[in-house]
Amino acid sequence: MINKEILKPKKKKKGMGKVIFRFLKQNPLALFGAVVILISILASLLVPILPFQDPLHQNLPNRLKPPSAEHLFGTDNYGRDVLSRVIWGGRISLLVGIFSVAIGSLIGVTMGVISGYFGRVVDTVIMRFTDILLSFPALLLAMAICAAMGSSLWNVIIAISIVTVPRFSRLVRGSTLSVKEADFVEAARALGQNKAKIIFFHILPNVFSPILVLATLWIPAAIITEASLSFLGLGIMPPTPTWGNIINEGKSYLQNAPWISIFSGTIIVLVVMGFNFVGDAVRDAFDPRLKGEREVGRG
Amino acid sequence: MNRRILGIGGTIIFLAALMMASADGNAKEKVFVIGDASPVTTLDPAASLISQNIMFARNLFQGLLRYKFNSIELEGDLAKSWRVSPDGLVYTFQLRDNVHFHKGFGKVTAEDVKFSFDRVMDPETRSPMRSELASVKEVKRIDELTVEISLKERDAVFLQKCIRPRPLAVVSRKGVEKNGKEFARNPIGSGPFVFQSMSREQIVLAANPEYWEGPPKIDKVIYKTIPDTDTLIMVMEKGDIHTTQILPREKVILDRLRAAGCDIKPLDRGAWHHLKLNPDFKPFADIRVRRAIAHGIDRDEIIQHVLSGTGQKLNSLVPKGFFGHTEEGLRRYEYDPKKAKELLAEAGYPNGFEVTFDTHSSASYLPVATAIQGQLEKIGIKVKLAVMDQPTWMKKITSATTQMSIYLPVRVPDADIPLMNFFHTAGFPPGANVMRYNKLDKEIDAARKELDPAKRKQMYHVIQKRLMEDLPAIPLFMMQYPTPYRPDVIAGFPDKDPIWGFDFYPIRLLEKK
Repeated sequence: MINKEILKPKKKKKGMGKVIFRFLKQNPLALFGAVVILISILASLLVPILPFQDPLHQNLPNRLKPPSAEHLFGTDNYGRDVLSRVIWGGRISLLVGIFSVAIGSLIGVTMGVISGYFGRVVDTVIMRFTDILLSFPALLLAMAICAAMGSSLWNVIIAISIVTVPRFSRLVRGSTLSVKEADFVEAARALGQNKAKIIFFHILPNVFSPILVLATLWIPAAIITEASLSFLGLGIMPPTPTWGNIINEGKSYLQNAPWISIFSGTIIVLVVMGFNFVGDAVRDAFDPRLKGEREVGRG
Repeated sequence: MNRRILGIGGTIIFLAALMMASADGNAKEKVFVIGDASPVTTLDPAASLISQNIMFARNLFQGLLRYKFNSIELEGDLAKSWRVSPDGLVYTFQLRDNVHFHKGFGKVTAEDVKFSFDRVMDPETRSPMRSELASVKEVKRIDELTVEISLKERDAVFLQKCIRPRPLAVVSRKGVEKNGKEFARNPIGSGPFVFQSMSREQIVLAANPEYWEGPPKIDKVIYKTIPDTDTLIMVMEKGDIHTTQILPREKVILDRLRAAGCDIKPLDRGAWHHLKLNPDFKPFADIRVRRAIAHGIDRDEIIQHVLSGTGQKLNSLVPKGFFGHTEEGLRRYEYDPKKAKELLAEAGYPNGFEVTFDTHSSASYLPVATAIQGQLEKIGIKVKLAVMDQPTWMKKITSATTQMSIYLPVRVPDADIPLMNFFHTAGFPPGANVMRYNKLDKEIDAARKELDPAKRKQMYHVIQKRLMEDLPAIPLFMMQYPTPYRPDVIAGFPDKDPIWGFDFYPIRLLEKK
């Protein structure tokens, strides 16, 4: 799964892949971020076959034990292995982060392109809707949606997607507006290509790079939002581990068993930082003003 | 001109008020502060079913009878004396002459008592306590201070049904008629405390200077709603609140509170945890599955590790300490995961099944539910916890839309009350008889009509035996409530209390040295 995802853009756009690789080498922070992301994704994909304990397996006599050789991250208040919970929790947290941004960007990009390309009434309607969504703080909006729909994995994903939609539609609309006026679009139109073709083959590829940058920056935000929702008890229900749930359950024991919250908190910080470093690097790589890489500028 | 005069007048009044307020502050008001995780939803005693509501009802209102302080013996509350006819069908209560309702609503009379009974019994009121007064035929006013209650049939626990506040607290007839629906937010009773104000965050009660036993020793009671248990514990440690009712039974947390200077009273409230199973969910209609679950729960482990020893195993569906309770000769369900798995396989679920387990987020529920989830997982039952707020959870119970839930009731300590509530046709709908168990209706009714205690006990023994065979619910354990309070600040805290909450009347605030 993961290899394909990495390979795909490489195959299609060899130039970009190469540049990113070169960039990673020059930029140790981005390299660090990429490694953290890779490890966390691999761990959460492979955790069912790795020899970790069942994250739901309770062992009451063995509760609130500090980290040891047997339980590297200690045990929680039901004697469950915190390490295994953190990794299984990462599976859910990453799933929510990546999926909600994928869904949100899909809808947001569609809305943005339509809005930017067609303009007039369509533009006004879509953008005012976007404004409405943007006028709420992200977490508050997600909380409201979750509270209204009830909490389950998919509802959390939907809630966070809705939060991300307006960020994408607004960005893509702007890019579309500028690309729309470019000569090659004019040419395509003159050649009599239909609108769908123009949008798919001429406009979308040229607004792709800002989308990618925004996505890498919104995945960590989505992870944090999910953790916040779960922490507040509006996200995914216990005993299913997610990073937010683990911290929430651990907070009652901060004075006596700090390892529960501290380890999961540290992992969130690491992964979110990883995504942000990579996001920054990607943005820099795409920014012609920063690097003067002409082939990148064209995407 | 007029406006100016108004303005000046207003300012003067404002300043005067300010001065009075500060004068008040100088006299040092004695304020008793309680913190709790759950909000109070209504102050109408006919509608109170949730524990924290009951705590208010018992301090704002009076009943005909009440429990003596620190005991389960009955004594007169509004009633000065009472008489029971030889056939056990007519109860006559003589009311005290010197009791008045709050806020000038007049003397407490036989008329108000009759009105209060009728109000709970009227189906229109939709009182959850109605079924508890099912045996009442008629309440008659004999004269201003005499009430006669006649029963349809003998009821051995009738006197227990006259205690405050559940099922019956005496409300002011005029108050109810005047306040109408607002009565739940502006109650008029005759108890030692008078309602002052209510918001989402706090409820304020003031001392009733006209209380018949003399004014309380504290001036004000403030009940603060602090929804997060961890915050609640920190506030208790800091000393911002004087007591709280529900805490995790977690040794580390109790130790923290002790270290902060709190004394912790293990209040026995006759509260018992049991597991409700809904036969609409197919596996639970099978007795073998219910037994498998009973064998699959390791109660000793939960009591020791989750409750820090503050629980006591219960092997009957009539709780310990209740009249009629016995565990002798009853079928026992000890922890035996092997047997549990065998029973599941026999019932056709060798690989278990998936079930949604409802609980609310209170510290008395969630840790127990999570531990049970972990244990059932080990016998192959996949349990999905659904954690909700208390009102939603309550609604799922009373409408029997839950698949499985734990329940921790506090009831008057007589076998009849829990049996009627949970294992009798009268308990549904609406009610908490989730199993809709009806096989022992006749026996339960007969036991209530028996006035000879020894014979009644015998009858309850038979009922409990049958219940443990049929297992319409799974008894878990008696729960204690470790209740922290600050001994350097308050005195008069009870050691024992069979109903929810406690009386604020005996509470005294100590002068800080």
